[in-house]
This record gives sequence, C-alpha cells and structure tokens, in this order.
Amino acid sequence: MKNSDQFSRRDFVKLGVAGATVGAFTLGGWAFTEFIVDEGTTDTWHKSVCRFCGTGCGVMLGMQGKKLTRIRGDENAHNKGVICIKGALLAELMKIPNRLLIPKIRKNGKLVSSTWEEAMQLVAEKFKSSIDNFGPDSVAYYGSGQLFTEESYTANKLFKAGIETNNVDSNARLCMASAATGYVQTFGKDEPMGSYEDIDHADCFFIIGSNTYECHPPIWERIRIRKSVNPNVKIIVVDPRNTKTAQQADLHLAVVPGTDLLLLNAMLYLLVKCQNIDRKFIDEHVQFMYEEKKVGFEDWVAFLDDYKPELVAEELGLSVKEIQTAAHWFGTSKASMSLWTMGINQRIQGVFLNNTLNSLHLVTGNICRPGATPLSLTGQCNACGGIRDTGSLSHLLPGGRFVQNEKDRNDMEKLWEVPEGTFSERPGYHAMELFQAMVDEKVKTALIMCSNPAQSLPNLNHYIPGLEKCFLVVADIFENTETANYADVLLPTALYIEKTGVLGQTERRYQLVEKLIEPPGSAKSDLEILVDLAERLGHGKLIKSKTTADVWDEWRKISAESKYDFSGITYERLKNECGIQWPCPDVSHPGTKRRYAKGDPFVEEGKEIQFYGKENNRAIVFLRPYIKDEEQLTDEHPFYLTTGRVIEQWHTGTMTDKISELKNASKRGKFILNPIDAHRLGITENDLVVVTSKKGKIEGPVSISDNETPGVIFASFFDSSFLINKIVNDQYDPVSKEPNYKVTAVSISKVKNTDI
Amino acid sequence: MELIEWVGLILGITGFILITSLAWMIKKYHRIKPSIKIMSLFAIFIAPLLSLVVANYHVFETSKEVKSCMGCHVMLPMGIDMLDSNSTSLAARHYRNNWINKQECYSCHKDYGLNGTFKAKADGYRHLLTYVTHTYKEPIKYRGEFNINNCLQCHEGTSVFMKVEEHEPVIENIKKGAQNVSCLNCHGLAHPSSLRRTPGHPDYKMLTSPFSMTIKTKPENEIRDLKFFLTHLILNEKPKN
Repeated sequence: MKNSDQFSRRDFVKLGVAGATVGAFTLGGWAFTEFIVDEGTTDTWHKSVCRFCGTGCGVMLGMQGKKLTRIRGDENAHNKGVICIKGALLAELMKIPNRLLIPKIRKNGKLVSSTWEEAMQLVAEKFKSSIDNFGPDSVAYYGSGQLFTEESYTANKLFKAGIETNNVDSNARLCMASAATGYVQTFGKDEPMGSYEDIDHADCFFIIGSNTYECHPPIWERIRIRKSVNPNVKIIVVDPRNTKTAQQADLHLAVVPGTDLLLLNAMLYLLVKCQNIDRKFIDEHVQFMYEEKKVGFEDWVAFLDDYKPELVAEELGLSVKEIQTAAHWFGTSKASMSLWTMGINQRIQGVFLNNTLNSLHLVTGNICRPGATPLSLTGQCNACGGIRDTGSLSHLLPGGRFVQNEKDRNDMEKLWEVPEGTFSERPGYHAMELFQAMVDEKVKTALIMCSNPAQSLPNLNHYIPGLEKCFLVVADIFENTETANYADVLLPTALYIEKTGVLGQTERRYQLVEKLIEPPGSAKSDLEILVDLAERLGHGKLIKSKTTADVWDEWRKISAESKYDFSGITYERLKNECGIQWPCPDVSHPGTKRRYAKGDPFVEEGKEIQFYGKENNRAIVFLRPYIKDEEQLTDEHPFYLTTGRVIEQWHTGTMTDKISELKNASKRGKFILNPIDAHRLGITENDLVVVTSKKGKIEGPVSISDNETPGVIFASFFDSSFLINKIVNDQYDPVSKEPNYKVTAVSISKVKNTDI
Repeated sequence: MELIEWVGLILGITGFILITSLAWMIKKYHRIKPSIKIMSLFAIFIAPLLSLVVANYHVFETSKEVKSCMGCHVMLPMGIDMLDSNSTSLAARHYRNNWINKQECYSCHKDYGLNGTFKAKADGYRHLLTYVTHTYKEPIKYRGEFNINNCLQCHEGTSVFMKVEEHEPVIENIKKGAQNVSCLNCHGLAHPSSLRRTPGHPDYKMLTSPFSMTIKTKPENEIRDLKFFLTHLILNEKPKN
C-alpha cells in the first residue's frame, strides 16, 4: 500500500502544473498588458528645433512613417519641454496644402510653370547681364533670419567674394540690427553674454519693449515659474500698451511711445543718487564715452542731471514714484535681468536704447553672473546664427568683421582664398536703401530668399514700385505670398525638416535640424539653389562646399580665426546634444553659458570678468541723450500707432495664417483701441475705420480692448488682407538702419457701422 | 490599519478557524452533518471568496496611493520632486497648490471612466512585473502619450482656464481629433527630465536620495500621509558614509 505521507511523483506533477499555471497566468497577464497598453501614434521620435521664433525651442518630432504626427517640447533642451501653441502645431505646418511644387517664370504678366533648368538659366542670364552692363552693385541678395546658417553663409560668400558686391542684407535688419549694433558698440562684439538659464536666478526682471507673453511664450512661462516659486521676484514691464505681459507685472510703466530713453537715463540718475551703483566694477571694467570721445565718471554723472525724474516724468507719462520704484527694484535686487526686443530695436534711437540698457547693467555690476544680464530676445529662429554671426548684412563680414575695416577684409580674403582687394570697402545697400535702390532702378536684379518684404517693409506703398521694376527672383515655399506677386522667377523651396541645417538662437546656442521628409514636388533646399546659381555664374570653385555638412565644416573652421570660435561644434555633437553655446573652441568643450566671465575660453586665466571684445578689456557706458522722435502727435495725427505680433501668428503669417487653429484664434487683422478713445470717437466694436498717417491710409475693423492704453492704437501685421505696414513710418536709426516701426502718428475716423 | 484591512483580517482568521473546525469535526464524527455542510460552504467557498473580494478591493484601492507607486524605487524621482518646494515641475506645482489632496499619481494618470480604471490597473500591473523582473532601464520612459483629457477633466470649464484666450486653438485641435497639442507643451514638464533621472547625472543622487530636498516644514497635524511616508522612507535610507 502506498504511504499517503510520501510526496509522490503524481503530487510533484500536480504541484508543477499548479506552479506552471500560476506562472502562465502571471506572464500571460503581463503579455496581455504589454499588448493592450497604448504605445501612441508615433513610430519614432527625433530631436529637432522649432521652426518659428528666436527662442529656438528644442522639440521632439514624432513620426509615423514619413508623416510628422506629434510635437512635444524637448524636456532635455534649454526650454525644459515648454513650447508655444505655434510650435505645438508644427505638424499642421507640414500639412499645409498648395505648396509651390515647380519653378515658375513670369510670362506676359503671368507666372507660368517652368523647369529648374529653364528658370535657373534665366536667373543666371539676368544676373550676368546686370553685372556686365551695370556693375556688380546692380545686383543684390535679400535673405532671411529663417534660412539655415549654411545657406546664409553660402549666399554671403557668393555675393561678397564671388560677385564682389556687398549688397547682401536681410529681414534681420528689420528686427535685430539695433541690438547687434548696441552690443558691438558697448562690448566690442555682437551677441549677448547671458543665457536663458539666468531667468532661473534673477530677482528682478526689467522687460522693456517686449510682449514676452505673446511673442516668446516659453520664456515668459519660465519667468512666471521663477516668480511663482519665489514670490519676492519683481517683474517690471515698460510698454505703452497694457499687454498680457504688462498685466502680470508687479510694475507696469506705460510710457508715451518713443520716450523710453528718458526713463533709462532717469533710472541711471537715481541709481547714482541712491548709490546703487557698483564703483568697484566700474573702476575695473568700464569706461565712459560721449560719441567718439572718452569722458570721466563725473562727466557721466553730470550728463544724467538732465534726466532727474522730476524733469522727465511728465513727458514719459509716468509719475516720479513709478520711476523711483523701477530704479530701486533694479538697483537693489541681488540679480537683475533685462529682456527686450522690437519695442527697443525698431526705433529711431534703437542703438542708443540698447547702449543704455547695457549701461544699466554695467554700472550696477548686474552682468556676467547668474541672473544678472542684459538679454535681447530674437525674433527669428536664425537671425543670430545665420545672419549676425555669418556677417550676412551689408556692412559685415563673417565672425564679427566689418567691410570697412581693412584688416578684417584681408583676413576674410585669405580665409576664403580670394585675391586681396576682392571685397569692396564700401558697405552695400542696407535693407531700406536696397528697396529704395530698386525704386531708383539702381538695383536691377535681386534674389530674395525665405522672406516676404512686400508685406513686412514699412511705408509699403513707396517701395512696391521698386519690386515691380527690379527683376525679382523669389525662393519660397508658397506661391501666394505678397512678395511672390512681384516675382519674375519663383523657385520652390524645401521647408523645415525637408532639409538639414543649423539654427542659432538668442543665447548663442547652435542647434541642428535634420532632414526627416522629402520636399514636395521638385522643391529644393535654398542651399541647392545657391550652389546651382554659383556654378552658373562661374563661381563653382569658390563655393566648393556643396552640402550642408561641408558648408558647416568650412564655416566652423573659419570661425576658429575669430572670437566667435565654435570649431568644437560638429554635426556629430549637434546630433546628440540639445544645442551648444559658443564660444566652443574644441570638441571636448561643453560650450559657454556666460560670455566674458570665467569659463569663457577667451577670458584669461585668473580673471573673473574680461570684456575682451574691447582692446583695453573695458565695456563702454555711452552718454546717450534723448532726442525727440520726429513722429509727434499733432491735431492732424492725434494718436500713436504701434504694431506687433499676436501669440497665434508669426510675422507675416505666410505659415501660421494657413493653420486653421491659429487663423481662427487670431481672427483677422484689425485696429485695437482703448475703450476711452473708442467712446470719445463714437466707435464701437467691429466698426470699420480708416487710419491715416503721413504715409497713407488703410481701412479696417476695430476691436476695443483694455489691453491698449488711451492714445495708442495697436495693429498686427500678419494679415495679408490688412497691410498695416502701408501706413507705418519708414524712418530708421541712423546707425543700425533699423526702421522705426513702433512709433507712427495717425488719425482715426469711422467709416460706417458693420454690425456683424 | 484601515477598516478594510480589519475586515480582511477577520475574514481570513474566521475562514482558518472554520476550516480547522471542519477538519476536526469530520475526523471526529466520520460523517457530514447538515451543520457541517453549512460550515463547509462558508469555510470553503464564502469566506475565501469574500477574502478574495476584499483583498482585491484592497489592492485596487491601495494601488491608487502614491505610496504604492513609490514602492518601486525607480519612481522615487517623481515623488521626491513632487515634494520639493523649490521644484518647478507640474507635479510639484500641483502638489503645492493643494488641489489634488490625495492619490496624486493616480489622479493625473488615470483616464476617465471604467475603461480608464482598467487601463491604469493594467499598466500598473505591467509596471510591477517590469520592476520585479528588473526588465527596465533608467531613465524610465512614459509609454505612449499622456491623455490631455486628464488635465481637462479638472481644468476645462474653470474661469481660470476659460479666460485664457490662447486655449482656443487647443480646444479646436482637440475637436478636430488631431490631439497634436499637449498641455505639457506650454505648461512645462510634469516630472524631472529624463536626463536628470539618468544615473550619473549630477541631480540623480538628489532625486533618489534627496537630503538636500527642500520640504517645507508644517505642523505635525498638517503633514499629510504621503509626505509623512516619503519623509520616513528617505530617513530610512540615510547615505552610507
């Protein structure tokens, strides 16, 4: 008889089966959950950069096959995963229908389909004929702060070293020239010293001429978070408009348009008077200048006497107390950070304003340490890297060199291996001169890439005839832009991830956009078009780098001969890292977070701060007097018109206004008025009004909003059916040549009630 | 112990006593009396079934707690960051504003309705097995896409949400069914970035053993259960030096 106490084979089998059953259920359950838990709609994720503004947000692009389906902020990039609504809709951008697919040539007034061969042959012939008959300065290139660095670099080289004209300018002239000139004058070199990371350390934000909330939303979010974590942080906003940024400020200074240099000088006066300046820093790192002449500290203090708050408050439209509060907060905080953009740059005194903003930081020692820095925000995704750094403006050469400087010219002639004397010492036409030269028929043939000047130029009506007279070659992604209307040849180009290239944003960070999809139709990258043009014009040997990778390597090596040295930023590194800030002199260098401070490879050993852009290592505090803007209110023009962007739209709306979510949210172009003004004029919501300036008049609907202050009318420029720039003032800063978009005196009158 | 745990314990003990008594009675009487049959029914079927139901309910309920999520140490960076009063992550900001007073992880990570509950539990089970079999690699990654309806469940319709005009395109995008826009796009990271959660990163040690973490001290009676649990968890893991 079998002993029941024994553990039989049968029992073993039973136990095994039981164990296996439990195991099978467990593992089966696991497999089941692996099967049912959703993996999302993307096959692969790719690190990239947003296409739109100069914040240069890192994004992760989710691809499903060859389609871009998802956009997320890159959590490991500088923007810490935050992007704005425009960036979030990049997938919609790539789906926009009616792209330009084949080259077109204007025949009998109409654009007709063509081939690349026919179109490029015609372009080359027109360029050759203009150069042969009227000289190299009869042709021009007008580029964009949205092209990749490799593209702008190649265009600059082709025109300046190949065609031998300095007529190279771009839309960056319209937005960044004053900031760039301000940095050069004060520090000797362009581009800011600070980083976005300073936002996390600042105790006082001085935001002037920037609607950060709408124009650089991820930066505003970072400021807001800084404030929410540290409620003692102060935010000062200086803006004639009660913008959404201003509404969240601790102190909003609604200055009269065009007067804010009075405020900056008055703040300097108070900083001196209240002894909130850093004399040790001044003695070690600063010198004072009035125009070209060196002056002393006492001269500067005496100059500021004219800007006592009591003397300037009325003209500024502020109270003395408000000016005192701003100066006190700025001067007594542990770290103050200034942020500005077009409200300062697009001004007749744009450079002076930039100089004085930098001065606020220099005299208080609020510079080159965490949280303490001036930082000009950029409008376009590659105005810094592509235009400023490559010197793609009419007065510049690469790496911070100037065409008027003989040594700089000789340096670049050697680096580009062209004969001495190739470069003209005369700056080419800057943007405003260039379009005037088209009106005057001095420029006969021009290539416009990735820009829409027929919508973005001020005083449009004056410059449009020039676009009609000039033989215009336009490279763009759409056929229905305002500028394409005047094109004689229209070339289809690749958009965003349809090509590869580097973008350089506000804080000197270079980031790579890799090609993920093929361009539609026969569209080509702008670089391919430039290489083709160079070959046809006989400059194939000069433009020896014909791929983006080769161009980048060439430019990277050339940068090593300047203080812009980014020779350590290779494509390989950019593929793996979330951008790198220059200077970066070798591949093992981590990049430079704070320029001119310890850690910057150009700062000498043992020095904490060295403004090495200047020969004596001293930054300059300029004595910059306020000059009344010519655009003053009169009985005929009793309002100020100021223009700007809205959060949903980007620049002239060629891309964003074709995305339904953004178009529906922003609605159409309109004038926005304060309720008090509207009531006084008997204007109600949606009324049709006509607004008149010295440049012309334009009709449009009205919206009434508390976001505007009395006496100021706001309009955005994204809507091609509402060309507000027709009436905007086209005077420009005498140094930077940047137009004064922000201050135009106008009148307003009601046309009729629309009763929508 | 919570009530449900007492009920489970009592049921378990009752079942054990009944089964022992049953065995003793069968041995003693060598026949099955009606009273034994009733006892058998209760001991063999009803008590275990009730215990099973109670145990399942208990597991289902406790797995909603942050404690349960933090039981896997790989999740510590998320919990520790949430408690850090200097953190700017969305989780920490939500925790600080006290809108979600309990079940912080579950409240955001569970989709709406029964299906959402099922999915959350299934995913939790997957996490558990991945964790115990150590078939994961740090930094862990969120699988699939975070459902922004989980944000909208609380935020949509509130005056704070509605007065922000910039939400219009988001709503339109959702209505289109495209769902390209995530709330996290504009409002930032929910948790520490994957880079910071990677072993070897300077912040990794702090996020997994955060003695430098700033937890605002509150009176004892205000310290919530979660904070108490995690604070003690941290104290029990003092660094060896």
